[in-house]
Amino acid sequence: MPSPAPDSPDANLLRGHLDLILLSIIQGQPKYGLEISKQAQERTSGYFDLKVGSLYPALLRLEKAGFVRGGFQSAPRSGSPVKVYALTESGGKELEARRREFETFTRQLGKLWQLGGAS
Amino acid sequence: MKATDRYLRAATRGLWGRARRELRTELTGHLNERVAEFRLAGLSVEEAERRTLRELGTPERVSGGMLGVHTVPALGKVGALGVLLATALLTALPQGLAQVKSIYGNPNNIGPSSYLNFEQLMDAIKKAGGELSGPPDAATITVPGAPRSNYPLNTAQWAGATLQQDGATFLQTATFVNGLLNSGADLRVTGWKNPSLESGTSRITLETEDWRVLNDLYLQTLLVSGPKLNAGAIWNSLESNGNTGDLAFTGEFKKGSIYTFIMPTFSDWGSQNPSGKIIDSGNIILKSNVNQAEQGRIQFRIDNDIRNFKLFSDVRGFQAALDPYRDTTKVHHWDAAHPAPVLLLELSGHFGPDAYTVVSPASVKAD
Repeated sequence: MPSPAPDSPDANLLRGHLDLILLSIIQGQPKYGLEISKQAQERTSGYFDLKVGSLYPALLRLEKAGFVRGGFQSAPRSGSPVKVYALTESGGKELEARRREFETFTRQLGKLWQLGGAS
Repeated sequence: MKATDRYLRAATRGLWGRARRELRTELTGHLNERVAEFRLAGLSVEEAERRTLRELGTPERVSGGMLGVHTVPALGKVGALGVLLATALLTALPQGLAQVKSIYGNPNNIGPSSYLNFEQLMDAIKKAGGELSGPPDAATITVPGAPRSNYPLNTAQWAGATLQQDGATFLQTATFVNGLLNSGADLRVTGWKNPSLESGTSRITLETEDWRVLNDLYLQTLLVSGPKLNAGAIWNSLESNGNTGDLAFTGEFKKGSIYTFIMPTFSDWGSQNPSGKIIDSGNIILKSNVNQAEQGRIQFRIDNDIRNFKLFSDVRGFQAALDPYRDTTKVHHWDAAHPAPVLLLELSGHFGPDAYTVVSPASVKAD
Protein backbone atom coordinates (compact mmCIF):
# COMPACT_ATOMS: atom_id res chain seq x y z
CA MET A 1 0.00 0.00 0.00
CA PRO A 2 1.46 3.39 -0.90
CA SER A 3 2.42 5.77 1.95
CA PRO A 4 0.15 8.79 2.33
CA ALA A 5 1.53 12.14 1.10
CA PRO A 6 3.68 13.63 3.91
CA ASP A 7 2.47 16.77 5.67
CA SER A 8 5.94 18.32 5.52
CA PRO A 9 8.66 18.04 2.84
CA ASP A 10 11.76 15.89 3.20
CA ALA A 11 14.49 18.02 4.82
CA ASN A 12 16.87 17.62 1.86
CA LEU A 13 14.13 18.53 -0.60
CA LEU A 14 13.30 21.64 1.41
CA ARG A 15 16.97 22.64 1.71
CA GLY A 16 17.52 22.16 -2.01
CA HIS A 17 14.65 24.46 -2.92
CA LEU A 18 14.85 26.96 -0.09
CA ASP A 19 16.13 29.80 -2.30
CA LEU A 20 13.31 29.26 -4.79
CA ILE A 21 10.76 29.23 -1.96
CA LEU A 22 12.12 32.45 -0.43
CA LEU A 23 12.41 34.33 -3.73
CA SER A 24 8.83 33.26 -4.55
CA ILE A 25 7.52 34.67 -1.27
CA ILE A 26 9.55 37.90 -1.39
CA GLN A 27 8.52 38.80 -4.97
CA GLY A 28 5.92 41.52 -5.16
CA GLN A 29 5.67 43.07 -1.71
CA PRO A 30 8.90 43.40 0.38
CA LYS A 31 8.72 41.37 3.60
CA TYR A 32 10.61 40.82 6.85
CA GLY A 33 11.70 37.45 8.28
CA LEU A 34 8.66 36.73 10.42
CA GLU A 35 6.30 37.66 7.57
CA ILE A 36 8.20 35.38 5.21
CA SER A 37 8.02 32.37 7.52
CA LYS A 38 4.32 33.01 8.24
CA GLN A 39 3.45 33.36 4.56
CA ALA A 40 5.32 30.14 3.80
CA GLN A 41 3.10 28.39 6.32
CA GLU A 42 -0.18 30.10 5.55
CA ARG A 43 -0.02 29.90 1.76
CA THR A 44 0.88 26.17 1.84
CA SER A 45 -1.48 25.18 4.68
CA GLY A 46 1.48 24.48 6.96
CA TYR A 47 3.46 22.34 4.48
CA PHE A 48 6.47 24.71 4.50
CA ASP A 49 7.55 25.39 8.08
CA LEU A 50 10.69 27.54 7.84
CA LYS A 51 12.62 27.61 11.09
CA VAL A 52 14.65 30.66 12.02
CA GLY A 53 17.84 28.58 11.88
CA SER A 54 17.46 28.01 8.14
CA LEU A 55 15.52 31.18 7.24
CA TYR A 56 18.00 33.90 8.26
CA PRO A 57 21.17 32.23 6.94
CA ALA A 58 19.35 31.68 3.61
CA LEU A 59 18.26 35.34 3.49
CA LEU A 60 21.83 36.43 4.18
CA ARG A 61 23.08 34.17 1.40
CA LEU A 62 20.54 35.65 -1.04
CA GLU A 63 21.49 39.16 0.03
CA LYS A 64 25.20 38.47 -0.47
CA ALA A 65 24.43 37.03 -3.89
CA GLY A 66 22.62 40.28 -4.76
CA PHE A 67 19.21 38.61 -5.29
CA VAL A 68 17.51 40.46 -2.44
CA ARG A 69 18.14 43.82 -0.79
CA GLY A 70 17.54 44.27 2.94
CA GLY A 71 16.84 47.44 4.92
CA PHE A 72 15.65 48.07 8.46
CA GLN A 73 12.13 49.45 9.09
CA SER A 74 9.85 49.62 12.13
CA ALA A 75 7.62 46.59 12.60
CA PRO A 76 3.85 47.27 12.66
CA ARG A 77 3.00 45.92 16.15
CA SER A 78 6.08 46.19 18.37
CA GLY A 79 7.77 49.11 16.57
CA SER A 80 11.06 47.20 16.78
CA PRO A 81 13.38 47.48 13.78
CA VAL A 82 13.00 44.52 11.43
CA LYS A 83 14.95 43.87 8.26
CA VAL A 84 12.68 44.05 5.24
CA TYR A 85 13.78 42.17 2.12
CA ALA A 86 12.90 43.14 -1.44
CA LEU A 87 13.72 41.32 -4.67
CA THR A 88 16.39 43.01 -6.80
CA GLU A 89 16.35 42.98 -10.58
CA SER A 90 18.84 40.11 -10.68
CA GLY A 91 16.76 38.36 -8.00
CA GLY A 92 13.73 38.59 -10.27
CA LYS A 93 15.71 37.03 -13.12
CA GLU A 94 17.05 34.35 -10.78
CA LEU A 95 13.53 33.51 -9.64
CA GLU A 96 12.35 33.19 -13.24
CA ALA A 97 15.32 31.00 -14.17
CA ARG A 98 14.89 28.73 -11.16
CA ARG A 99 11.16 28.46 -11.72
CA ARG A 100 11.65 27.42 -15.33
CA GLU A 101 14.31 24.93 -14.27
CA PHE A 102 12.03 23.45 -11.62
CA GLU A 103 9.06 23.25 -13.98
CA THR A 104 11.15 21.54 -16.66
CA PHE A 105 12.50 19.10 -14.08
CA THR A 106 9.07 18.11 -12.76
CA ARG A 107 7.63 17.92 -16.28
CA GLN A 108 10.40 15.57 -17.42
CA LEU A 109 10.11 13.50 -14.25
CA GLY A 110 6.36 13.28 -14.87
CA LYS A 111 7.04 11.66 -18.25
CA LEU A 112 8.96 8.88 -16.52
CA TRP A 113 6.01 8.22 -14.25
CA GLN A 114 3.62 8.09 -17.20
CA LEU A 115 5.81 5.63 -19.09
CA GLY A 116 6.60 3.32 -16.21
CA GLY A 117 3.38 4.03 -14.47
CA ALA A 118 0.03 2.80 -13.48
CA SER A 119 -0.68 0.29 -16.22
CA MET B 1 19.65 36.80 32.37
CA LYS B 2 16.34 36.59 30.56
CA ALA B 3 15.61 33.65 28.28
CA THR B 4 15.40 36.01 25.29
CA ASP B 5 18.84 37.48 26.02
CA ARG B 6 20.28 34.02 26.37
CA TYR B 7 18.74 33.04 23.04
CA LEU B 8 20.12 36.13 21.28
CA ARG B 9 23.60 35.60 22.71
CA ALA B 10 23.65 31.98 21.62
CA ALA B 11 22.20 32.74 18.18
CA THR B 12 24.85 35.40 17.44
CA ARG B 13 27.80 33.59 19.03
CA GLY B 14 30.86 33.49 16.85
CA LEU B 15 29.83 36.45 14.72
CA TRP B 16 31.76 39.69 14.71
CA GLY B 17 31.17 43.38 14.21
CA ARG B 18 28.40 44.54 11.95
CA ALA B 19 27.27 41.01 11.09
CA ARG B 20 26.63 40.34 14.77
CA ARG B 21 24.89 43.65 15.43
CA GLU B 22 22.61 43.30 12.42
CA LEU B 23 21.60 39.72 13.21
CA ARG B 24 20.90 40.66 16.81
CA THR B 25 18.67 43.57 15.74
CA GLU B 26 16.91 41.40 13.16
CA LEU B 27 16.22 38.56 15.60
CA THR B 28 15.13 40.99 18.33
CA GLY B 29 12.62 42.47 15.87
CA HIS B 30 11.36 38.98 14.99
CA LEU B 31 10.99 38.07 18.68
CA ASN B 32 9.29 41.31 19.71
CA GLU B 33 6.87 41.20 16.83
CA ARG B 34 5.90 37.59 17.51
CA VAL B 35 5.52 38.27 21.23
CA ALA B 36 3.26 41.25 20.37
CA GLU B 37 1.12 38.96 18.19
CA PHE B 38 0.72 36.40 20.98
CA ARG B 39 -0.09 39.20 23.42
CA LEU B 40 -2.86 40.44 21.10
CA ALA B 41 -4.21 36.89 21.13
CA GLY B 42 -4.52 37.20 24.91
CA LEU B 43 -1.38 35.44 26.17
CA SER B 44 0.60 36.73 29.17
CA VAL B 45 4.05 38.27 28.59
CA GLU B 46 5.78 35.17 29.97
CA GLU B 47 3.68 32.74 27.96
CA ALA B 48 4.07 34.82 24.78
CA GLU B 49 7.86 34.83 25.19
CA ARG B 50 7.95 31.11 25.95
CA ARG B 51 5.84 30.23 22.91
CA THR B 52 7.95 32.49 20.66
CA LEU B 53 11.23 30.94 21.77
CA ARG B 54 9.85 27.44 21.32
CA GLU B 55 8.76 28.33 17.81
CA LEU B 56 12.19 29.67 16.86
CA GLY B 57 14.12 26.41 17.30
CA THR B 58 17.65 26.03 18.64
CA PRO B 59 19.80 29.21 18.56
CA GLU B 60 22.88 27.18 17.59
CA ARG B 61 21.28 26.44 14.24
CA VAL B 62 21.02 30.18 13.58
CA SER B 63 24.62 30.95 14.56
CA GLY B 64 25.92 27.86 12.74
CA GLY B 65 24.02 28.76 9.58
CA MET B 66 25.12 32.39 9.65
CA LEU B 67 28.74 31.40 10.23
CA GLY B 68 28.51 29.09 7.25
CA VAL B 69 27.47 32.01 5.03
CA HIS B 70 29.90 34.54 6.51
CA THR B 71 32.94 32.27 6.39
CA VAL B 72 32.64 31.53 2.68
CA PRO B 73 34.06 34.74 1.25
CA ALA B 74 32.19 36.52 -1.53
CA LEU B 75 35.00 35.90 -4.00
CA GLY B 76 34.85 32.16 -3.66
CA LYS B 77 36.70 29.81 -1.41
CA VAL B 78 38.88 30.40 1.60
CA GLY B 79 41.87 32.58 0.88
CA ALA B 80 40.20 34.59 -1.86
CA LEU B 81 38.88 37.15 0.58
CA GLY B 82 39.30 40.69 -0.69
CA VAL B 83 41.09 41.94 2.37
CA LEU B 84 41.86 45.63 2.46
CA LEU B 85 45.59 45.22 2.62
CA ALA B 86 48.10 47.01 0.48
CA THR B 87 51.76 46.69 -0.57
CA ALA B 88 53.19 44.00 -2.73
CA LEU B 89 55.89 41.73 -1.37
CA LEU B 90 57.47 38.87 -3.18
CA THR B 91 60.08 36.64 -1.66
CA ALA B 92 61.97 34.06 -3.64
CA LEU B 93 63.45 31.07 -1.87
CA PRO B 94 66.80 29.42 -2.43
CA GLN B 95 66.76 26.44 -4.75
CA GLY B 96 66.61 23.08 -3.03
CA LEU B 97 66.08 19.43 -3.78
CA ALA B 98 62.33 19.19 -3.38
CA GLN B 99 59.94 19.10 -6.28
CA VAL B 100 57.67 22.14 -6.19
CA LYS B 101 59.05 25.57 -5.41
CA SER B 102 56.90 27.68 -3.09
CA ILE B 103 56.96 31.43 -2.73
CA TYR B 104 55.15 33.95 -0.59
CA GLY B 105 53.40 36.76 -2.41
CA ASN B 106 50.88 39.51 -2.01
CA PRO B 107 49.06 40.57 -5.19
CA ASN B 108 47.34 43.96 -5.16
CA ASN B 109 44.64 44.37 -2.55
CA ILE B 110 44.71 40.74 -1.42
CA GLY B 111 46.01 39.28 1.83
CA PRO B 112 49.45 37.72 1.45
CA SER B 113 49.57 33.99 0.93
CA SER B 114 51.81 31.28 -0.49
CA TYR B 115 52.08 30.20 -4.11
CA LEU B 116 53.41 27.09 -5.88
CA ASN B 117 55.37 26.87 -9.12
CA PHE B 118 52.71 25.75 -11.60
CA GLU B 119 54.95 23.92 -14.06
CA GLN B 120 56.72 21.97 -11.31
CA LEU B 121 53.34 21.22 -9.75
CA MET B 122 52.13 19.75 -13.06
CA ASP B 123 55.18 17.45 -13.16
CA ALA B 124 54.85 16.43 -9.51
CA ILE B 125 51.16 15.56 -9.93
CA LYS B 126 51.88 13.60 -13.09
CA LYS B 127 54.53 11.58 -11.24
CA ALA B 128 51.98 10.96 -8.47
CA GLY B 129 49.59 9.46 -11.05
CA GLY B 130 47.24 12.45 -11.37
CA GLU B 131 46.85 15.31 -13.78
CA LEU B 132 46.94 19.08 -13.59
CA SER B 133 46.04 20.61 -16.93
CA GLY B 134 44.78 23.73 -18.66
CA PRO B 135 45.95 27.34 -18.27
CA PRO B 136 47.15 28.15 -14.71
CA ASP B 137 44.26 30.54 -13.98
CA ALA B 138 41.64 27.99 -15.17
CA ALA B 139 43.32 24.66 -14.50
CA THR B 140 41.63 21.36 -13.68
CA ILE B 141 42.91 18.69 -11.31
CA THR B 142 42.56 14.91 -11.26
CA VAL B 143 43.73 13.09 -8.14
CA PRO B 144 44.21 9.31 -8.31
CA GLY B 145 41.48 7.59 -6.29
CA ALA B 146 39.42 10.77 -5.77
CA PRO B 147 35.79 10.54 -6.90
CA ARG B 148 35.68 13.67 -9.11
CA SER B 149 38.16 14.03 -11.97
CA ASN B 150 39.10 17.13 -13.98
CA TYR B 151 37.87 19.35 -11.18
CA PRO B 152 38.21 23.11 -11.94
CA LEU B 153 40.53 24.85 -9.47
CA ASN B 154 39.66 28.49 -9.89
CA THR B 155 35.88 28.40 -10.23
CA ALA B 156 35.59 31.99 -8.98
CA GLN B 157 37.94 33.13 -11.80
CA TRP B 158 39.81 35.08 -9.20
CA ALA B 159 42.74 37.08 -10.58
CA GLY B 160 44.86 36.49 -7.45
CA ALA B 161 44.83 32.73 -7.98
CA THR B 162 48.03 33.04 -10.00
CA LEU B 163 51.01 35.36 -10.09
CA GLN B 164 54.09 35.75 -12.27
CA GLN B 165 57.61 35.93 -10.96
CA ASP B 166 60.94 35.61 -12.80
CA GLY B 167 59.20 34.28 -15.90
CA ALA B 168 57.42 31.49 -14.02
CA THR B 169 53.75 31.19 -13.13
CA PHE B 170 52.72 30.40 -9.57
CA LEU B 171 49.38 29.07 -8.32
CA GLN B 172 47.99 30.11 -4.95
CA THR B 173 48.36 27.27 -2.43
CA ALA B 174 44.84 27.77 -1.03
CA THR B 175 43.32 27.59 -4.53
CA PHE B 176 45.23 24.37 -5.20
CA VAL B 177 44.35 22.82 -1.82
CA ASN B 178 40.66 23.69 -2.20
CA GLY B 179 40.66 22.12 -5.67
CA LEU B 180 42.18 18.92 -4.25
CA LEU B 181 39.51 18.85 -1.54
CA ASN B 182 36.72 19.59 -4.04
CA SER B 183 37.83 16.59 -6.10
CA GLY B 184 36.95 14.51 -3.04
CA ALA B 185 40.56 13.65 -2.19
CA ASP B 186 41.38 12.83 1.42
CA LEU B 187 44.20 15.28 2.07
CA ARG B 188 46.93 15.61 4.67
CA VAL B 189 49.94 17.90 5.19
CA THR B 190 52.96 16.17 6.69
CA GLY B 191 56.37 17.35 7.80
CA TRP B 192 57.70 20.82 8.40
CA LYS B 193 60.69 21.82 6.28
CA ASN B 194 59.93 20.75 2.69
CA PRO B 195 56.50 19.48 3.73
CA SER B 196 54.32 17.11 1.69
CA LEU B 197 50.70 17.12 0.61
CA GLU B 198 49.47 13.51 0.70
CA SER B 199 46.34 11.94 -0.71
CA GLY B 200 46.12 8.16 -0.54
CA THR B 201 49.42 6.89 -1.93
CA SER B 202 50.09 10.13 -3.84
CA ARG B 203 52.53 12.63 -2.43
CA ILE B 204 53.63 16.08 -3.58
CA THR B 205 56.63 17.54 -1.82
CA LEU B 206 56.91 21.31 -1.60
CA GLU B 207 60.27 23.02 -1.64
CA THR B 208 60.22 25.55 1.17
CA GLU B 209 61.64 26.39 4.54
CA ASP B 210 59.90 29.77 4.65
CA TRP B 211 57.92 29.89 7.90
CA ARG B 212 55.21 31.99 6.22
CA VAL B 213 54.61 29.36 3.53
CA LEU B 214 54.59 26.61 6.18
CA ASN B 215 52.20 28.66 8.32
CA ASP B 216 49.91 29.25 5.35
CA LEU B 217 49.85 25.55 4.49
CA TYR B 218 48.92 24.33 7.98
CA LEU B 219 46.51 27.22 8.42
CA GLN B 220 44.55 25.86 5.44
CA THR B 221 43.73 22.73 7.47
CA LEU B 222 42.18 24.95 10.13
CA LEU B 223 40.43 27.28 7.70
CA VAL B 224 38.81 24.33 5.96
CA SER B 225 38.23 21.95 8.85
CA GLY B 226 38.96 23.77 12.07
CA PRO B 227 36.83 25.56 14.61
CA LYS B 228 34.81 28.48 13.28
CA LEU B 229 37.23 30.97 14.77
CA ASN B 230 37.30 33.56 12.05
CA ALA B 231 33.54 34.11 11.87
CA GLY B 232 33.65 37.19 9.73
CA ALA B 233 36.97 38.42 11.08
CA ILE B 234 40.12 38.11 9.03
CA TRP B 235 42.30 35.25 10.12
CA ASN B 236 45.92 36.04 9.37
CA SER B 237 49.10 34.18 9.83
CA LEU B 238 51.41 36.48 11.72
CA GLU B 239 53.30 38.95 9.57
CA SER B 240 56.74 40.21 10.54
CA ASN B 241 55.50 43.78 10.90
CA GLY B 242 58.04 44.92 13.47
CA ASN B 243 55.72 44.43 16.41
CA THR B 244 56.41 40.76 16.97
CA GLY B 245 58.31 38.93 19.67
CA ASP B 246 58.94 35.39 20.80
CA LEU B 247 57.06 33.31 23.31
CA ALA B 248 58.02 29.82 24.44
CA PHE B 249 55.98 27.20 26.25
CA THR B 250 57.24 24.14 28.07
CA GLY B 251 55.11 21.11 28.84
CA GLU B 252 53.71 18.06 27.15
CA PHE B 253 54.85 18.89 23.62
CA LYS B 254 55.73 16.05 21.28
CA LYS B 255 58.92 16.35 19.26
CA GLY B 256 58.13 16.99 15.58
CA SER B 257 54.43 17.68 16.18
CA ILE B 258 52.88 20.87 14.82
CA TYR B 259 51.14 23.41 17.05
CA THR B 260 49.51 26.79 16.54
CA PHE B 261 48.97 29.74 18.83
CA ILE B 262 45.78 31.74 18.06
CA MET B 263 45.74 35.33 19.28
CA PRO B 264 43.22 38.18 18.86
CA THR B 265 44.46 41.65 17.94
CA PHE B 266 42.44 44.83 17.61
CA SER B 267 42.35 46.29 14.15
CA ASP B 268 39.43 47.60 12.13
CA TRP B 269 38.92 45.58 8.97
CA GLY B 270 36.50 45.26 6.11
CA SER B 271 35.99 42.79 3.31
CA GLN B 272 34.59 43.63 -0.08
CA ASN B 273 32.80 41.89 -2.92
CA PRO B 274 34.18 41.90 -6.47
CA SER B 275 32.58 45.28 -7.22
CA GLY B 276 34.37 46.85 -4.26
CA LYS B 277 31.38 47.17 -1.95
CA ILE B 278 32.19 46.59 1.73
CA ILE B 279 30.15 43.56 2.80
CA ASP B 280 31.48 42.90 6.26
CA SER B 281 33.62 44.56 8.90
CA GLY B 282 34.81 44.18 12.47
CA ASN B 283 37.44 45.16 15.01
CA ILE B 284 39.21 41.90 15.89
CA ILE B 285 41.70 40.08 13.70
CA LEU B 286 42.69 36.63 14.82
CA LYS B 287 46.35 36.02 14.13
CA SER B 288 48.08 32.70 14.32
CA ASN B 289 51.58 31.33 14.38
CA VAL B 290 52.30 27.70 13.54
CA ASN B 291 55.52 25.94 14.55
CA GLN B 292 57.05 22.52 15.07
CA ALA B 293 57.77 21.47 18.65
CA GLU B 294 60.95 20.15 20.19
CA GLN B 295 60.55 17.56 22.94
CA GLY B 296 58.67 19.34 25.75
CA ARG B 297 59.07 22.83 24.28
CA ILE B 298 57.74 25.05 21.55
CA GLN B 299 58.41 28.61 20.49
CA PHE B 300 56.00 30.95 18.75
CA ARG B 301 56.20 34.37 17.19
CA ILE B 302 53.57 36.53 18.80
CA ASP B 303 52.11 39.97 18.33
CA ASN B 304 53.53 42.09 21.16
CA ASP B 305 50.08 43.52 21.87
CA ILE B 306 48.99 40.22 23.41
CA ARG B 307 51.76 39.92 26.01
CA ASN B 308 48.95 39.65 28.58
CA PHE B 309 46.94 36.59 27.69
CA LYS B 310 44.85 33.76 29.08
CA LEU B 311 44.87 30.26 27.56
CA PHE B 312 41.49 28.61 27.10
CA SER B 313 40.77 24.89 27.27
CA ASP B 314 37.92 24.94 24.73
CA VAL B 315 36.83 26.89 21.67
CA ARG B 316 33.45 27.94 23.07
CA GLY B 317 35.03 29.45 26.17
CA PHE B 318 37.50 31.31 23.95
CA GLN B 319 34.69 32.71 21.79
CA ALA B 320 32.63 33.74 24.80
CA ALA B 321 35.61 35.52 26.35
CA LEU B 322 36.07 37.52 23.13
CA ASP B 323 32.42 38.60 22.95
CA PRO B 324 32.69 41.70 25.19
CA TYR B 325 35.52 43.06 23.04
CA ARG B 326 33.63 43.06 19.73
CA ASP B 327 31.89 46.35 20.46
CA THR B 328 33.32 48.59 17.74
CA THR B 329 32.09 51.77 19.42
CA LYS B 330 34.70 51.37 22.19
CA VAL B 331 38.48 51.29 22.23
CA HIS B 332 39.90 48.06 23.64
CA HIS B 333 43.38 47.06 24.82
CA TRP B 334 44.81 43.87 26.19
CA ASP B 335 46.46 44.41 29.57
CA ALA B 336 46.84 42.63 32.90
CA ALA B 337 43.24 43.40 33.83
CA HIS B 338 41.99 42.43 30.36
CA PRO B 339 44.11 39.49 29.23
CA ALA B 340 43.71 38.38 25.60
CA PRO B 341 41.84 35.07 25.27
CA VAL B 342 44.17 32.72 23.34
CA LEU B 343 44.16 29.12 22.15
CA LEU B 344 46.98 26.63 21.79
CA LEU B 345 46.08 23.89 19.28
CA GLU B 346 47.88 20.76 18.18
CA LEU B 347 47.45 20.25 14.43
CA SER B 348 47.17 16.82 12.83
CA GLY B 349 47.76 18.12 9.28
CA HIS B 350 44.62 16.27 8.15
CA PHE B 351 41.82 18.14 6.37
CA GLY B 352 38.93 16.80 8.43
CA PRO B 353 37.22 17.01 11.79
CA ASP B 354 40.42 15.80 13.49
CA ALA B 355 42.42 18.80 12.15
CA TYR B 356 43.10 20.10 15.64
CA THR B 357 42.93 19.38 19.36
CA VAL B 358 43.02 22.07 22.02
CA VAL B 359 46.09 21.79 24.25
CA SER B 360 45.05 21.87 27.91
CA PRO B 361 46.31 25.04 29.65
CA ALA B 362 47.08 22.87 32.70
CA SER B 363 49.64 20.83 30.74
CA VAL B 364 51.83 23.73 29.62
CA LYS B 365 53.63 26.72 31.08
CA ALA B 366 54.75 29.95 29.40
CA ASP B 367 58.48 30.61 29.88
